[in-house]
Amino acid sequence: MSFAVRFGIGLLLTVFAAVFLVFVATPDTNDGHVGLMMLALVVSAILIGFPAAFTMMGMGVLFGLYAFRGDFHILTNLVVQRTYAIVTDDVLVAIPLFIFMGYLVERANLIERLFSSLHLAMARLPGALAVVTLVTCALFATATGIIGAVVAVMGLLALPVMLKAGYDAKLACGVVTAGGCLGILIPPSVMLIVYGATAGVSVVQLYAGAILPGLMLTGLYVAYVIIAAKLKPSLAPPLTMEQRKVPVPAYATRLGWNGDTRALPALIRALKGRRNTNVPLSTLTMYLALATLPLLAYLLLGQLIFQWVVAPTDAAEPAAAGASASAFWIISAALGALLMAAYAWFTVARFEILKMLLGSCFPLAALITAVLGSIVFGLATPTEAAAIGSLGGIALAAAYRRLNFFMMRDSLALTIKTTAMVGWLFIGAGIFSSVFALLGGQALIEGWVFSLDLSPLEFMILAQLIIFVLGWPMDWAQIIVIFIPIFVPLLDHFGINPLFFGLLVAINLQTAFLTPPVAMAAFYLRGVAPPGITLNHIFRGMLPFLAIQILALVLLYTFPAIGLWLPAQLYG
Amino acid sequence: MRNHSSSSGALSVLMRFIRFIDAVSTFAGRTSSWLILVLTLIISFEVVSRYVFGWPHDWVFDTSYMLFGAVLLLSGAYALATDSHVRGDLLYSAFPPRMQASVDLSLYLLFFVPGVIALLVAGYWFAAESWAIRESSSLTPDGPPIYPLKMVIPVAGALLVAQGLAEMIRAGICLVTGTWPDRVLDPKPVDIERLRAEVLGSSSSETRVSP
Repeated sequence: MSFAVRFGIGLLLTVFAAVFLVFVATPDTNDGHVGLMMLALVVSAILIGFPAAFTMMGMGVLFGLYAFRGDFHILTNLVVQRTYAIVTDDVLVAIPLFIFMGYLVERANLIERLFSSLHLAMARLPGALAVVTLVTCALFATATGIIGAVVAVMGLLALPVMLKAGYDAKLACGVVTAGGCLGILIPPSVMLIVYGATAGVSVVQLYAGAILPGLMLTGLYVAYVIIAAKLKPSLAPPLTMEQRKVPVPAYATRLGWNGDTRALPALIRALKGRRNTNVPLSTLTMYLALATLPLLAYLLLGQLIFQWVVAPTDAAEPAAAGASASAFWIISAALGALLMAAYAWFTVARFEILKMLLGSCFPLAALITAVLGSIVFGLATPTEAAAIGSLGGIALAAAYRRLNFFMMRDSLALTIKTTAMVGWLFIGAGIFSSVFALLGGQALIEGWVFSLDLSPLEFMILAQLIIFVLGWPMDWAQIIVIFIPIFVPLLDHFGINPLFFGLLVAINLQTAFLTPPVAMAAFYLRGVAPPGITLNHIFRGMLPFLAIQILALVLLYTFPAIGLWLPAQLYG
Repeated sequence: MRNHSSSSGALSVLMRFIRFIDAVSTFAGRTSSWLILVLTLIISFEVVSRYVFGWPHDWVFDTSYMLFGAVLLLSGAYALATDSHVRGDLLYSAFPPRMQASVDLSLYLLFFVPGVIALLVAGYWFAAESWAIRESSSLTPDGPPIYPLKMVIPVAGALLVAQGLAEMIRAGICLVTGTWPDRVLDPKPVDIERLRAEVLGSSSSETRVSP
C-alpha cells in the first residue's frame, strides 16, 4: 500500500473519529452537530473520490430535507435560487474568458521561442538555464494558468537541455515543477477570481495585491538558483562558448559582419554603401526599423509620462512644478545616456537576441501587461479585460499560424470543461453552505473557535495549517469553495483583512502542488521526463522550492505591505 | 453458451444506450461552447464601442451573464460524460476497477440522484413561472427577457439525470465485467502526445539552440 493511500485512509479515519467524538463527547447535540456531520460526510466522499460538486449538491438536498422538516417545496426553491444566483453571477463570467485566453495562448505554441531567446539573452548568468526555465515558466504560466501543460511542456523542452548541459537532475526537476506552479498565484489567475467570488473580496484588489507576492516568489526562486549555482558550480555548470553562441543571420555573413560587429553603424554604412549589393534593401530597412524601436519606445514613453504625470502636476501645484519638471528632465537625460550606451554596445549578436525576444517574449509580456494593467488601474473590469485578452490570444494564435477550426473547437471544449468543473462546484457549494448555515453548523464552529481564545497569529497559523493539509488530498477549487466560507466570517473577529488572508491562501494552495506524496506537478513531470529521472529525483528537487514557498508565506505574513501596499496605493 | 450470448447482447444494448447519452451530452456541451467565442466577441465589441467611441450598450451586461449561465448549465453533463469534474484522486486511483465501480454506483445513488432530481423538479417550476409572465431582467432598466435562461435550468437538470443514469450503468457494467467501458474521445487539458509532437517536431527544424 503506497504512502498516499495510507495517508488518505488515515485522514478518512480522523474525520470519522472527530465526528464520533463530537457526538459522544457533547451532552446536548443539536442541528449544528448534524451540520458538522454533513461537512464530515462531504469531506469523506471527496477523499474517497466522488466528484465534489454533486456530493455537495446531494448532501445539501438530503440534509436540507431534514433542516426544513421535510418541506420539499422550500427546499427546491433553495436549490434553484442558489443555482440561479451562480449562473447569473457577473464576477464568474470572467472565469471562462480567462481560461479561454489561456488555452489559446498555450496553442499559439510560443513557449519554445520564449525559452530559446531567453536562453541566449541570459547565457552569462550563473545557473543560466535554470533561471531561464523559471522565467519562461513564470511568463507562460501567468498567461495560460494551465499548470499541467506548463510543467509538461517544460519537462519536454527545458529538462533535456538542462540535463545535457550537465545540470543536477534534482535541481532541473525542481525548477520545472516550481516554475510551472507560479501561474496559480500570479494574476490574472482563476484561483483569485474563485476566492474573490467566494469570500466577497474585490477581484481587482486581489489581483493588485497578488502581483508583488508573485514577483517576490519568482525572485526568490531565481535568487536561490543563482546562489546555488555560484556556491556549487557542479549543480549548474556555466554554459560553454559553443552553447552561448548566437547564430549570425545569413544577410550579416554576406555583408562580412560577425557577431561582434556594432549593429547600428554597420547597418547605416551598409544602407548607403556599395556593399549591400547582395542583400535586398528591404531586409536592411526592416532591420534598421527594428533597431530604432528602443529609441521610439523611449521617446513615446517620455512623451506620455510628461503629458499625463508631469504636466497635470504643474497645473495643479505651480509651486511643485519646477521640481517635478526638472526631475523629469534629469531622469530622461540619464535614461537617454543609458540608451546611447546600449546602442554603442549593441552588436549584431545582441541585435539577433533582441529580434528573437521581440518575436516571443514581447507579445506575451504585452498581452499580460495589457490585461493585468487595465484591470489593476481600473480601466476595465476583469471580465472586459479577459475578453480582450482572449481576442489577443486569438490574434497571437493567428500570428503564429496556429489558428484553425479544430484548434478553436478543442480550445472551446477544454474551456467549458474547466468552467463546468469550477462553476458546478460553486452551485454545489452554494446549496451546501446555505443548508450548513441553516442547520447552525457555521455558528457552532464560530462558537468553538472563539471559545479557544486564540490570538490572531495562532488563528492564522491554524487556518493556514488546515488549508495546507487539506491541499494534499483536495483540489484548490474544492478547498476554496468549501472551506473559505467557513473561515471568512471568523476573520473579522481576529481583525484579519480578507484580502490579506486570500493572498496567504493563494501562496499556501500553491505549495500543495509541490508537496509530496500527492504533488500534481511531480506527476505531470514524471509523465514526460526522460528515462532515468525518477519520482524520487523530482520530489527531492521540489523540496528547496517548497521551503522557499513557506519562507514567502512567512515573509508575507510578517510584512503585509508586500501584498497590501499596491492595493492601498491604487484604491486608497 | 446461450446464457453468455444473451448477457453480451444485453451488454451491447446497454453500451449503445450509454454511447447515445454520451453523444447527447457531448453535443450539448460542444455546441454551447461556441457561445464562449460569442461572449468574447460581444464583450470585446462593447469595450471598443464604450471606451473608444463613447457609445455604450445596456444589453451587453445582461447578455454576457446569460451566455455564461447557459454555457455553465449545459456543460455540466458534458463534463460528467468526459469525467472532467474534479475528484480527489488520492484513494480512488489506487482502487481496483470493481471497487471504483461500487464506490461510484453507491455514491451516485446516495448523493447525485437526490441533488440532480431536486434541480430538475425545482428548475421546471422556476422556468414555468418565469415563462408564464414572460419575465424580463430587472437588473437593467428595460432589461431583455430572462425566461430563456431560466428554461435552461430544467434542461441542464434533465441532461444531468440522463448522464447520471449512463454513469451508473457504466459502473454496473464495470462491476460485472471488471473493466471500465470506454469513454468518448475528447481533447485533454494536458495532451502529452500533442505536446511531445510539437516540441520534437519543431526542435528538429530549430536545432540551433539546443546543442
